[in-house]
Amino acid sequence: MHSELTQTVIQNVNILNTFLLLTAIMAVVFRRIRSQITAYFFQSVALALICVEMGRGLGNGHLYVAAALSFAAKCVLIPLFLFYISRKTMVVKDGEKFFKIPTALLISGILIIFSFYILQPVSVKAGLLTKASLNTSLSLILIGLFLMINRTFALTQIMGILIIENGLFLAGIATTYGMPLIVELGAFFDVIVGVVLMGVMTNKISRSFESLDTEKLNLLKY
Amino acid sequence: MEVNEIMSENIHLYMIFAPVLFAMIAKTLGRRSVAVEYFSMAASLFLLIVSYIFISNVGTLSSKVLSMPFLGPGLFYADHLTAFMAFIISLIFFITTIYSGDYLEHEIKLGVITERRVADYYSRAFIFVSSMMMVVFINNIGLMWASVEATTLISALLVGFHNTREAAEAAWKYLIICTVAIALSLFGIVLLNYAIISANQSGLSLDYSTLVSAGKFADLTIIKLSFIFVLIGYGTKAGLAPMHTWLPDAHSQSPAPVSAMLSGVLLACSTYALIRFEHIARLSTGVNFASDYFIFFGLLSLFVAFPFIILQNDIKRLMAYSSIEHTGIIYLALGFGGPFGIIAVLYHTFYHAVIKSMMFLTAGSIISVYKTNEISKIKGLFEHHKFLATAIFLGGLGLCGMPPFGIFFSELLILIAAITAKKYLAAALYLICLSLIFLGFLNHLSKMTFGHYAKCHSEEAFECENCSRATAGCRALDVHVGFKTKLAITILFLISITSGVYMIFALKEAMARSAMLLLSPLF
Repeated sequence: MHSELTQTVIQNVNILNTFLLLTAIMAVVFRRIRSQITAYFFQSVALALICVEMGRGLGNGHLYVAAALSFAAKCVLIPLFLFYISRKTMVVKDGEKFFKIPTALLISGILIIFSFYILQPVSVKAGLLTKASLNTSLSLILIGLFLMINRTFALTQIMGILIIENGLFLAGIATTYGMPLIVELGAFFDVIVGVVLMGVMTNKISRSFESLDTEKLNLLKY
Repeated sequence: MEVNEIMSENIHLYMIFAPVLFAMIAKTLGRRSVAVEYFSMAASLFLLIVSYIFISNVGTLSSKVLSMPFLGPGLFYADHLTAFMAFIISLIFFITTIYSGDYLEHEIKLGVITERRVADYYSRAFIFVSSMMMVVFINNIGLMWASVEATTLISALLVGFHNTREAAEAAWKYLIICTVAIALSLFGIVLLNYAIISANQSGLSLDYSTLVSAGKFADLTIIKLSFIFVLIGYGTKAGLAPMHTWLPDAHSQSPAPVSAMLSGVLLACSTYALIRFEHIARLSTGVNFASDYFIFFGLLSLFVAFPFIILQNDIKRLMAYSSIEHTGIIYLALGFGGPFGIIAVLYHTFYHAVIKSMMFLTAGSIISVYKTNEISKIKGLFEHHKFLATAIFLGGLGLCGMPPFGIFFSELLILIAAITAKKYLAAALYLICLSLIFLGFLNHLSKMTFGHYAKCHSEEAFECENCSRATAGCRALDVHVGFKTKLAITILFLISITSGVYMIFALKEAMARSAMLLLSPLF
């Protein structure tokens, strides 16, 4: 069904995988919202590059389409929208809930190792690339979840969801050589609508609670 | 017959795209709220009739792939389970639409919303129904995921319909928790795709219709891993403990008709997506590995629900926790499996949809009469409002599984399924939880309906000791309940009390046949 990948492509994709993990950890470390959005921007660029690399290696046209869509949505639209929301709500810095930054860094490392451990029993037929990318994608999902748990501001929670989504996209393109295009279109549509909706709600929360701290969302109990 | 055939060929167009059209029309009607209201009623009646004709053709209906102009064949798929779900969705939607008229009118009178937002409400509701129909009719597992996510996005707008801080908080929690959870189930679906590709089955796509007929092809380890991710994702959306925390908030803060739809059919939709996935997982590995997970999470939901039901002091949250309980029961039935278990899942879904919607609508009316959510402040309902009192009391008994109501029969079927499957411990725990919940409910119901409620007669503005709000000239109880409200509640009540003994043939046939489909390796 698909041609074999060359060694160069595998190497390039692995370097980009590392870059994805690096940017996810940067999002955990940064406290300023604008730096986090920038980290997300670079992560999305790397993801689009992986898409292009895979398309080149496999000679598969629809991966180029996926790359173009991903670039348009995640490197242009979403970061611009998030910058707009952060300017509008005037949030600059975020606070930690449970762990300080050095501990959070350590935990991110542990999560990466943990995802390697979970995926050990999944047998690999398609070669080295699949396994490394699957590990990376699960790590991104776990780091995104951790970011959402550890930070309290609404915008950072949106960042967490976006990192999780990037992980899913990576799993889609790198392990199965692309989900069917129509599924990817559906997923993109959901992400864009979801982020816009969350942005609008963030705005609403910041107006009615006069804060973006989700710790203050504690009116409803039991 | 000709007409019926044409219709069942194009059923997905009617069910998915007509509501979008209706939403646009409702939006253009805009400020004329009465016109919007009657238009929506007619439109939802149209959906109900179409889905009824579709389900009444159940004898001639076979599983088939539906095509779509411009997008090619194979995008949509319909079988008996689809017909069943589409019927429930349009039934509940029709009745909540009848109710919505009075409800929104009351809210406008209280000044909670402006008249301009009525069109907003109806158009969002139509899009919400369209997205649920999409979940039901879609063929591709990946697109089914996208539709479930779409239902989250649109219903979050409905949950946050009231512009209060509580509603904003509930909508935010709902959106964040469900989006993350649904993302996890996408990872599961990616793993399924990976299993297909690594088995070198190049002819397979992610289409349900091709996957169920593909036979055994996949590696058990990968499918197991993917099933767990999907279970967590769709289970969260269905309100399964311990991922249920969004549910009481969202259900208690949304407008009453929306709560009825969320609880009655949205939870069922996400269970539907999970049932489809589990079916594929079972067929592709040839092993039924899922039942233990279902039983575990089902029992956990029952255990989480009962203390909150017993100690609850908010009438809508009480219903919300009861939804968690019933989701738990449905998952238990899935876990016990066998013919009894699967048929009980379908029957319970139907009965629960009807009676829980009725309870949410009644609770909404009680709240508008007493102007408070708190059970301890609602007293003497029989004294002041016989209709609502009868509805909440008998409905509550039905919800806990008293005999003439349908829930009793499906819960009995689940017990039979448990004993057939030799899961005695689970059966015992199930019965204990049910009886404790029954006690809790009876306590709340008798507190609300019996007793004496002192009216306050003063015309001056003061903090009324009976109501939670400071209102000018509080005459305590706004006893008037509109005709449409009574009609909606009565219809649901009659359905739930009669369907236990007598079920219309088409529906019964559809349920039996979809159970046969889901049990397909056995038959």
